[in-house]
Amino acid sequence: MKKLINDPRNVVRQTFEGFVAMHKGLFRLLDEVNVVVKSRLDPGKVGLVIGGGSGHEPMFLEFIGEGFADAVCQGNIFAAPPPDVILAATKAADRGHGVLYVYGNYAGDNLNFDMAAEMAEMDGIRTATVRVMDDVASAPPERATDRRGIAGDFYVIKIAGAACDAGLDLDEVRRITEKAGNNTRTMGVALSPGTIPGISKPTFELPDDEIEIGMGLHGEPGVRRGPMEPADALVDNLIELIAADLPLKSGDEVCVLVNGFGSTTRMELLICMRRALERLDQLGIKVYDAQAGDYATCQEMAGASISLLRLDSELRRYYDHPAWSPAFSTRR
Amino acid sequence: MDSISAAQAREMMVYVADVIVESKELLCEADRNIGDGDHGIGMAAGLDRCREELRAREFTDVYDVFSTSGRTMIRTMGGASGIIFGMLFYAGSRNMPPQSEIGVSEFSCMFEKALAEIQAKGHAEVGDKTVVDALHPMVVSLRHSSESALPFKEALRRAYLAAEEGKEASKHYVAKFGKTKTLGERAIGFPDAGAVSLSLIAKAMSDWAEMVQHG
Repeated sequence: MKKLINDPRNVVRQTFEGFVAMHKGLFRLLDEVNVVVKSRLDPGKVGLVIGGGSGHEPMFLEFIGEGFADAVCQGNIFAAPPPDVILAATKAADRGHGVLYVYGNYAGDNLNFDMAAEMAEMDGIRTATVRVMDDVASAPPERATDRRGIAGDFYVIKIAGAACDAGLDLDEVRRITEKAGNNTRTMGVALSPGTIPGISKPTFELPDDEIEIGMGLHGEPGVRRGPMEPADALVDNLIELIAADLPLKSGDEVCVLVNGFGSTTRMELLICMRRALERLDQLGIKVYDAQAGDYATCQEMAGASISLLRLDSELRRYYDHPAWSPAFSTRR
Repeated sequence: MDSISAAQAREMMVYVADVIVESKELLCEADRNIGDGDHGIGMAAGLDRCREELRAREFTDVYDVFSTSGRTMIRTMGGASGIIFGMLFYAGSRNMPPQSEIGVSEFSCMFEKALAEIQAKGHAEVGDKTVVDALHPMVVSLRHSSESALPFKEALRRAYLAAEEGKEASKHYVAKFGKTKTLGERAIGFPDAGAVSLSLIAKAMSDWAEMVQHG
């Protein structure tokens, strides 16, 4: 796979360097660790640290900003950051009111963030953790705590950032963020794989005329492989799986995210969005807000996921909380 | 050989690092079969850093060699393997009173602590298709060798055979953890990539002892 990179060993660092240089002065890059921190941190607030493996940009890197994360830490491609890196981000984000970790529920992330939390505690910093587990395909409802975090990370981070920015204490920030997580679901469909920089073989194989429903962001197998179908049929399938899982009922209100995996065109995303809104309307679901774009990617993987955040008045308030990050900002 | 000195432990760990760095592609391939294919990248990078740290100074304490190795892997690798393989060397060597040499019994204790720590953190049992499938039999073998007062070389040889057998057995299991979990029955026939790494590490330690004996 041809990629616009230099030495594959430096891709993560150079991604961070490019990002920080582009947003002149807004963020700073820590020495030797792949951590970006907001240059100006409002005092008196809980810090929000997000992170995970690299290679999913704009997730997590570009969800830093006002009403978003205070610091972002990333590991190598698809690998959780080491505890020392997470600890550096924790120290940078802490203003004496504790730090909330929000990250996807993967074995590697759990191990490294948990160890960082222990180290932070020894340094006198209180932390709380919310793991995102929105991927409906990755485990049945009775094992929901085994589910992975994918594009739904966005909603959970958005709500967490708003709760921190509102000046709530750590317990309250965690409660609201958990509530956002409990009301977020995602289902995706993969069309073709991505490749890790520096490795020639793709992360999975999928015949040209086949799709896989529910495949993970690292090529983890999904729930069903089948022939390629028109966008409307696939979108209906995804919505059906999410609606049954939440479960959604007529009159519920949701936000909709149609997320591209990396090489899916905007044209395709908007075609999927068209059907998603049509289908939700048929089901009597009210759509409060809708977004389409690349939020959580897997290199040049093709395909898309649909995420829904079910709102109540509290979550709507935090969703509306003004926020700005390079990857997303609230409407003016 | 009834014990290993700090200098020998360093030599052994550098050899282990050499083998893992050379096995990068093999480990990626093992991971690609049933995971995301990056296991070898993390392992090779971590052990490369570990090798640098070990070469940077002299060691007089055997536990310092293992804790430096493990801590370096935890600090630099990331991913589940950073913690798990770092703890393999770090859990049983941190905060230990310095020893200029250790015997099979201390060596066995070190890996027993590692197994306990890895299981406490990851909640994996034998049969869950993780590194524990190879590490558990290796620890049992080391304990047995210690009780039977076997020489170091023989203890390492048996530890490797036990780890290798455990790795082979992992082919028959369905994964309960990590990115392989969602594969279900599709994972059967492939060993766990972490168990492959552990077996390689055990083999490298045994091969090193063989070379020392004959070298």
